[in-house]
Amino acid sequence: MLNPTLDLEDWPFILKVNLLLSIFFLIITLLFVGLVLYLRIQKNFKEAHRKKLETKFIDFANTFLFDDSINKSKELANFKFDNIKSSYDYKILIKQVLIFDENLKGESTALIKEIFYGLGLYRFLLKDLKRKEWFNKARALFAFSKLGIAVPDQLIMPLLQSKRVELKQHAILYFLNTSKTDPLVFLDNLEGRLTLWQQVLIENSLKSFEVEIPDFARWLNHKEDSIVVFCIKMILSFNQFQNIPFLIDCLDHTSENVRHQAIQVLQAMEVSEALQLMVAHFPEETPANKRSILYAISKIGAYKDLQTLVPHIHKEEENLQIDFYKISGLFDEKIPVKKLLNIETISKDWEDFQQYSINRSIGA
Amino acid sequence: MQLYSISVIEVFSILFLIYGLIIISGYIFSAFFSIFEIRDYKRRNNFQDDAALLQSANLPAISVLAPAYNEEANVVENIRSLLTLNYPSFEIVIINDGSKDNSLQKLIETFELEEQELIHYHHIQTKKIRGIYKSRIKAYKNLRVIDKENGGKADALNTGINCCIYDLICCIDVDCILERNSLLKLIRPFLNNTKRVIASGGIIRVANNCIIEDGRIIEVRLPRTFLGKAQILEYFRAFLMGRMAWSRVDGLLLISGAFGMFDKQTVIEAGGYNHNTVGEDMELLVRMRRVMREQNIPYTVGFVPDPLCWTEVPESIQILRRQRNRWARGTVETLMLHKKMLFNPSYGVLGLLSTPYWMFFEWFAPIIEFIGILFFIILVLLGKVNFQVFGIFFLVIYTFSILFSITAIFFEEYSFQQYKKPKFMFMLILTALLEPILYHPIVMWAAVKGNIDLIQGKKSWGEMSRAGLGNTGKT
Repeated sequence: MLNPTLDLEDWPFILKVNLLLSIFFLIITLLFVGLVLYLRIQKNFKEAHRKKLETKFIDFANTFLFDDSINKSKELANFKFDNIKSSYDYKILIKQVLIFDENLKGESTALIKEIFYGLGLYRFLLKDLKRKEWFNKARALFAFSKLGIAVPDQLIMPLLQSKRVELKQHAILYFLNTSKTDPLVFLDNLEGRLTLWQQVLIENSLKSFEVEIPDFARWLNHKEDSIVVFCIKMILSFNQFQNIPFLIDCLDHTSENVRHQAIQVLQAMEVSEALQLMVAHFPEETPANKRSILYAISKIGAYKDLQTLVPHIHKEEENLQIDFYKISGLFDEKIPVKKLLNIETISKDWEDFQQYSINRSIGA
Repeated sequence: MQLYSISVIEVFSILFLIYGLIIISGYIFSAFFSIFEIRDYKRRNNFQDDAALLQSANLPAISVLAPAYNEEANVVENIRSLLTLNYPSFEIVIINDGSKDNSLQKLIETFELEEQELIHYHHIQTKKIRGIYKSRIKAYKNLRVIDKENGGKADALNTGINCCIYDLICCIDVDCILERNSLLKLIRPFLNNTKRVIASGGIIRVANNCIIEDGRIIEVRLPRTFLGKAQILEYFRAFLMGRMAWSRVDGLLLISGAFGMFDKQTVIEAGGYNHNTVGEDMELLVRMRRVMREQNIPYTVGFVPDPLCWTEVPESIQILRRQRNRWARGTVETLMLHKKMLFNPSYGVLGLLSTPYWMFFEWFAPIIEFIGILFFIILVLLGKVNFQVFGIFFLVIYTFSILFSITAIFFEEYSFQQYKKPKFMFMLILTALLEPILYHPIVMWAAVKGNIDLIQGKKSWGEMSRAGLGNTGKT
């Protein structure tokens, strides 16, 4: 056993290691405690600094915008010299400029842009855009697209194909917001999937767009399915009824997702003439699309359309049978399908119903 | 005899050191990965616009499934709070799992519910449904209540899956407090991913003693009791360090049952919640991942570190022990059910990292620790303990435990800084000093007992009474 009177040097190796580890852990622990305190103090300090600079900027911007008696270029230079000391200051001011830009219209917007250039924010962001790190590029793109400030295309074009969805998203929004005539022209060159989030943001931007909304039929043959799906949705969102024939063509698309979206949009647009094709495709469709067709019939079809599908819903397709029962009930209260469904006998019941349906159609 | 004693100590010491080094490496690995993940998450969400999401008609609709068992006291308030979530299209499905109290009657009266037709899907086998109810009032048109025979939480959730109408399901505990934008945040991984996302989970926060108004957290405070505070540290470690790190390497095995979003189709394909385990939340995710992997479908699981869901943690030792006992049994049951994945390279990160980690660090750790304590007691009784050696071993473990907790506090400070008052931070640091001695033995014993109960065939959840959050911390 260890003799308590032994010198440290005589301790077994394992104990020495443990002692060293204890001291090491203790030092790191104290370091982290210090870091926690430092973070808290630093956050408080930064917060106070941010508030101070924001207040100064708001005063400065209001004077710059609404007081014509001042020497604007001199005021800009003075503000820059007195207040911008670090990249954090630049970031605070960029946010403030964006807020002002969002809340102002007309001539004031041009003055805000003058502040943007005058304070060196453009140069700061351009440097960010040329940096390697994706988040710097993303921040720069975000500000440029919000302010509608164009930068050389060759800096942005490669970002459209970025594997970073966030960077790609900001590149898309940049092209959208800085375009004067054709906001969706970037779709021609877009490769890879357009995520749902990107679709939502594009739609949102388009809704506040002042130029003419493009004809979405232009991209219905795009090689990327997600772009086709997006365009189908937008045809509905922007009521492009002239594109209905192209939507009907989409029912023959090779992609299940595209066909699915086409069925839903045609139903929402109440294109009853598309039903015939949907019904014809029903036997070969995927379960999800079969379900969509059933629900399309419930909205824009008649009970006889539904009946034509009875032979194509197979004994083992229990979920479809349930959908069928639900929808039948909407058409005709007397149809004996609203009884409590019993999953144990649903297949047998379905066979009975198929027979009942055939008898009914032949008037028996 | 002295020679024998030295060799036993040294052999034991070396084994202890190896195990300790593995554990320390695991924790260092998780700390590094999670700090990078938190940093990236903050960067990714620096310039995102939730308002755009709220305005879109093209967002996928969500079915929020909330099982309720004997929740009469708070269920109405909880549902009112759920109904005010910020999301363009969602339904709330409350599954009354055969409550013995007046939960259903209270819901029928408050929300003017009327019985609907009993047509629903049968994707998953469940106990019998007694009735499906919808409100007559337009304001509650997205509320549905399903009354069914008692079958446990897993069975209730499966019933919800059968009856809900949307393709994304969000499974929650009805007594949890959700942030208003929680659905918007939790759905983000589903929206902004080029891979198929099968599930997305969030961080669970401790609501005890927080100030709550109208079902919302108004001010974040520390729990009054030491047990509550210790669990805050535990949750920091589990979520901010553990799950963030696993999310970084796409190796998450658990999305908390209190708040998680799933792709309904994948859940159905995997067979729904397993009602034969008490760890149904973990088991479901493991099974879903296993199914995807076996079918060679590229997929991912999302994780959102924002504070979105607040829950009440047990502040009595008895209830805490029951909860941890159940968690231990759930972990073992899941690992046993999916033992094929352990060390199996064909499951990638899951087989080579995640499941072995859960086995060594979650399942074995308390058992090894317990055996160590027993061994120590025997040595004490035999008078073979050198207390200087013991002191050094104890010191290394103790300092590492504190270091790990303090690192977790640092992560909280670096990321979301929910505890604004400086005194809260100091109290948490103090708790970190006491927790390894006063709290850890309780949860360790509960986990060991869980293993014993499992061997004895115990399957029950155990009564989990709660003090309730309704009046917690109200000023």
